[in-house]
Amino acid sequence: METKPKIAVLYHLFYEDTFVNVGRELQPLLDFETCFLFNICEDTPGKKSIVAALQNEFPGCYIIFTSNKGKDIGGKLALLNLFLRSKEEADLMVFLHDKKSLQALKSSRWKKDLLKIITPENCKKIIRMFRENKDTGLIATKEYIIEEPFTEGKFSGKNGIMLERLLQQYEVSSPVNSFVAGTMFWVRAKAMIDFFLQHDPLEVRMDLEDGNILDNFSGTITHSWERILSWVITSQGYSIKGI
Amino acid sequence: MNSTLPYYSIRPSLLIQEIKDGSFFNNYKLNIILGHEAEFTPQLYSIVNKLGNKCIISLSAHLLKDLAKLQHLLPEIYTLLALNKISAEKRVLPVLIDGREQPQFINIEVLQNYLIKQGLTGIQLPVFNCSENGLQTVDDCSLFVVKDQLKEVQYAGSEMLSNSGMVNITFSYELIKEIEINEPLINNINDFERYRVINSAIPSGNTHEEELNWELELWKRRTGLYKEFLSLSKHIQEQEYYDLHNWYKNEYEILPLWYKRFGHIIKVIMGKRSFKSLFSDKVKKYRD
Repeated sequence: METKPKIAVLYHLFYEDTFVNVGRELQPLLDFETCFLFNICEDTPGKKSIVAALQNEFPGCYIIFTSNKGKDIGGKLALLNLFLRSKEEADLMVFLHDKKSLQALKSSRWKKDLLKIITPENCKKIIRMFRENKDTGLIATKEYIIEEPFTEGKFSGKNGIMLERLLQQYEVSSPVNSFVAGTMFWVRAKAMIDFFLQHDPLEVRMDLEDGNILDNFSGTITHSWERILSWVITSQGYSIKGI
Repeated sequence: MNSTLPYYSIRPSLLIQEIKDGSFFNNYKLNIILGHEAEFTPQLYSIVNKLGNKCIISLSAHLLKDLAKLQHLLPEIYTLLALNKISAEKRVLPVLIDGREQPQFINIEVLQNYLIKQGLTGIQLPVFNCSENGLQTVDDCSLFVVKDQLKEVQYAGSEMLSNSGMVNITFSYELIKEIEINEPLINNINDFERYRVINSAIPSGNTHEEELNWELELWKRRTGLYKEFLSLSKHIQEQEYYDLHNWYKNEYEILPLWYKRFGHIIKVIMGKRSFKSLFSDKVKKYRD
């Protein structure tokens, strides 16, 4: 009989009204041996109700409060730090957040698409994909696996200069330039853990920008790490798969 | 939890043991005093997470003295603060010195700077003096602490008030257990007087009014954020409109007129446009 994998869910909450959906969204993951870790942005009003609701839906879950630094990426790095220090165990990790992207017209469609990875059918399918393909390191909604522009031997997008510097600093060398936009994905936990045992996630977090930064007009360290989180996996020889 | 209750000081080892034995008094609020590097354990993180707003964290100055050791501890301390809802929200992390150390020789600034870099700005690290001789400096306060771990000092709350502008005291968890078991002791240490002192001191969760004011402030900030989103949204959509417009112009508009007209005939042949619409604007052009 196949053993159920241990799963760690790292979920960042920024908005005051999204927690009412979290229980429903994450319901399929309760069928597994799952450890839930939540980060609530300290700027979020109504944290008491959010904490009470999360503790009610996910007894034993970890909840931290952190400042609005690096948006969901900063929150997920703080959760990675907590995961490592709490010595919880996991075979697979799921990175999620309460994406709204209010500045964008197609935001509700984005969120719906990105959450395809935790429907009951897809959870089972993804777990099977990880089990059957040992080289699969990351699985996300296929439409959101996009290619970072790379021309004349260097990254040419808005985040290009920062990407070059950070990849060198953290010795990340990915054979592919595709990454998961939106940072909601499943990942083989070992690959993520191995990297962040070498590089303290809180050290990375320190350099991220404060507040609700966007990369519509210029590059940011935060959006560079949005890309690097995928490449942390691919640089270890694993591949990215879409669903 | 009743916000008028004081915090009882306790070392992590005792707390873990108490929980393990099932003898932990769950209705207490605790001040968990960390005095050694080895006390930052996964078990402690789990307990602090479960205690929620029932505990605060304090550090022994001993932990901050050695800069090299402190560097390793910084992420551990931050993790505890992020887990501890009161410390994270109230921005207070008490530091205890035992009288042998001088406050200026402990690396409070190093810790403070690290926390600021993690976004925990404005955090206060009030220094509490637990000196043996009972004398208090103007800015320091005294604590009841666990026997044999740090020096136990027991001052009357009134004396402390007269010597300090901001008096914060907590009780030893062990002492309180003794008191509860042996009731007559309460009279001896004038316990109720101390409760009163404590209530006005340590950030014992907020009063209801303070909490409401803080929530109101967060809602105001949130309203500002949504306004920003609206303005940004307009800006981004304008840019997208012009990008699309330019794309259309470069890809299609610059083609010669005859070529574009020929394209419309192709559309009719492909069934994408009605034949009649080539000659009249009053006819339906495209299928729904």
